[in-house]
Amino acid sequence: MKADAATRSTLLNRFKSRLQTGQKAIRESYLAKPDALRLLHERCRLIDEVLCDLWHELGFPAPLALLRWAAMGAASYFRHPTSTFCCSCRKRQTLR
Amino acid sequence: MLLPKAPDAALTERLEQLVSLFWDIGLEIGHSVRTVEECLDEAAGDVTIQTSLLEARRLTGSERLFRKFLSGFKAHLYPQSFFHAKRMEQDERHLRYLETPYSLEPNCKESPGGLRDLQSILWIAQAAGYGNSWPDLERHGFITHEEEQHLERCEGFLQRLRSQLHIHVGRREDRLLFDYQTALAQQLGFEATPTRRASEQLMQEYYRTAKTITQINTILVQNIGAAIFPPPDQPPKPISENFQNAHELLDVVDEDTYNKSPRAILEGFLLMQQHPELKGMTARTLRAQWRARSHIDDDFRANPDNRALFLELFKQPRGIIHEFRRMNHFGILGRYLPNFGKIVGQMQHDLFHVYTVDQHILQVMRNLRRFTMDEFAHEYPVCSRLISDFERPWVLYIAALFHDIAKGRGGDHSELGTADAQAFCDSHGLDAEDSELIVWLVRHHLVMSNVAQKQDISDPDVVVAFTHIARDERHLIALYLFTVADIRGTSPKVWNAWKGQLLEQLFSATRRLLLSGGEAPVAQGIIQERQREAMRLLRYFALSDTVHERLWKQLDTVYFLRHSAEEIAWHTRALHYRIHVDQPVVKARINPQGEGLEVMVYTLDQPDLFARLVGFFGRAGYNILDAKIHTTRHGYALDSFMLLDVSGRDSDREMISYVEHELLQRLIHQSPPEAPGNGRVSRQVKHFPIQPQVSIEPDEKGVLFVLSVIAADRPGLLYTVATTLAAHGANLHTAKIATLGERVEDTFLISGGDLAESASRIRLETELLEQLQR
Repeated sequence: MKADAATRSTLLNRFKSRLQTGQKAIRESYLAKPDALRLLHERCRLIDEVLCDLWHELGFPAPLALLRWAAMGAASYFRHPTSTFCCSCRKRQTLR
Repeated sequence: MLLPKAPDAALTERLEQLVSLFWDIGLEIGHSVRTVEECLDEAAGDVTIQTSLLEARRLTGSERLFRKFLSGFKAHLYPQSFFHAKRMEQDERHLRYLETPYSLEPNCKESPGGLRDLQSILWIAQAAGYGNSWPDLERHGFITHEEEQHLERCEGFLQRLRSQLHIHVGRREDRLLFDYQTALAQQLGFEATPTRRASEQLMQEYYRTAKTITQINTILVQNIGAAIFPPPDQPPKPISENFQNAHELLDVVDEDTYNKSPRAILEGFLLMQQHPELKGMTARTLRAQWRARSHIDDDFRANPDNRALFLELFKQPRGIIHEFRRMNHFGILGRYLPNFGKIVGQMQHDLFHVYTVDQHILQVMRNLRRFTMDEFAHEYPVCSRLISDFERPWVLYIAALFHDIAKGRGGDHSELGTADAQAFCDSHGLDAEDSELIVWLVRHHLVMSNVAQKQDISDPDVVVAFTHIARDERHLIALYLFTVADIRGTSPKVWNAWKGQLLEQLFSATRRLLLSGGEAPVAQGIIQERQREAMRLLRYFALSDTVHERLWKQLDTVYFLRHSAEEIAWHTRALHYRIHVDQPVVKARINPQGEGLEVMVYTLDQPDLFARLVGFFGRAGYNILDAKIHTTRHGYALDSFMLLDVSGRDSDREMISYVEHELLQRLIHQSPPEAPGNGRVSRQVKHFPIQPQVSIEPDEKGVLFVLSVIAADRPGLLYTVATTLAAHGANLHTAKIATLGERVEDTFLISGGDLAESASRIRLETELLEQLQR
């Protein structure tokens, strides 16, 4: 699906707000109970989910794939390379 | 974004739209759009891209395409080349951070012992097919379960620290700057004790973790390397019952060697010293040694064989520093000497040490050792000459090991350390003479530095008092060598030629006194000798034998005691024809015995003269190292200064005429004292300030007063002291300025005002303290 200007604007506002709300909630949760590793895991999951959902919203064809990795110099938390590991918290994550 | 084939225009537009949306919603991400073939082409020969791709995980989309990419990538990934490339990358990164985890402001991600060192291990392991996690490495037999847990803890600590740092700073920042250390310590639950700040405890935890990581990194990278590269088909050569030479590496005959014979732990280091052909230890030796370190317990330490072996390590002709550093690196030294273990990774924010205590101790040993090596004889010829005649120099290395071992316990570490040194000497069977010297050195290791830098070493009484401490030539030489090595081992910034000159002067004067039987020379005798020498020097300038008479008539005993013959001759040459001149005289020259400028000022006494001079030198970019203030019998000030350029100009010669002309103008016009520029205080001083200390005590003769000031260095500090003294009507006679990194310890000899009254002294002390606290 190719997004026209109105659709794009709606998508942008929705995802921007979701990202901000999610980040705020993570920050508040951290301030209430400082656990740096949980914070990292939650941030990682939030971003993964936002990326995936945007991908699906724009309806990319099935033969394509969206990959993620940490480049040199970027945050080192997102270490685990196989598709079923999420960041350094080692918690298994269900990815669609 | 991984594509099965090159995108058409429509898909390209949609992909661009996606990336633009990522950014617009607030995700700052790098991206690439590639086919599998493009990924493989990009990765070929570029270790950075290979590493990134190694970490790729599928978020969504075609699993089949992702599998195709993975299998293609693995087929093109050569573990041996990847290993070499990652190792080189790591070596270069370590070099960028000066190969030490112990920087005052380390980078918790990139510094040696940081998170990147852990990642490198896993990348290498993953490329070689050994998995991508610590449990995987355990499964492949590279680490034990206990080591796996240990690694998890280290990694967890660094991750918590780094996350907290990002949260505290509010952005991605990996440097543990002074600015953040105190707050981070508090946020991570460290609490200050009476002897240690919370930040010091945090940093010790960091340094210990980083050290463990560097150890494990060394061992694991070497072990994975050994698995990737099959060893050449050549049998090892036996060295001893426990060890063999395997391709120029020390190798245990079997991995159980250390368990069967724990003494082999120390034997290994001794063999490394005794066999120059050995370039290191094999991977399995390092691993076995790491696992066996818990064998070093009370029984091990009490074993006479082990004690004898440990002592042998100090006495070998080569490899001493290398092996002590290796023992410390792998935690063996701290196990054998538990009190040494306590100071490992301990940083002290005293504003002049830039190394942790263990690193400083090994640096002092290294400096002492360097004096004995021909290839470094040009660095400190006097020290090299002295140590070449010094019997059993290894006693100095033992003293070095103990001199700061009691740091951080509270109290006087020199005194507390003597108990450790004595216990070591007793338990290791050192004879009475060597034990006494070691313990004496630990107790007095700061004395010579203090006397040289804070007292008037041209005063015969000061030298006599120091001679009583030094007692004999062997003790004096030992202390001199030790002091030079110790100051140089504190920080690269602390040592300078001026300090070297002061120590050498004190050493020579004390040695002369000791060799003459310890009889204190009569002041008059010293003065006559200096005057004779000054007259001899004046003859070189074709000046008559009576040229000095008019000036010297105006100078008293104190002047001749405080100035060298060379300085007296210089002053005389400059002033003999203008004793009663109205206009001030300013002469400057390159310090004849080292770096910096020497400046002489001769003028009818004027108010605020010292403050005016200090302000001028400060504004000209000079630090005053030493000041001698003298008033002649006919009321002229005759002051001399040793100055060190701190502006980084490196052009003392060009500054001579500037100083002579500009200072003269200010003295002629008696312009008001100008405060030096308000440069910024260093971040270290800002975040780890020290409480200023001021004391005024009558000198031994009760005529003058000794003002001692200890404070964090800052621009204009001396000017503040000078103006405060002037406001209290105090006259300055000498100023000894000792700058130790970011800390100053100044000593002034003052008189006048109401200093004889204790209440006035307290008023002056209080005002100085207030000024220094501003």
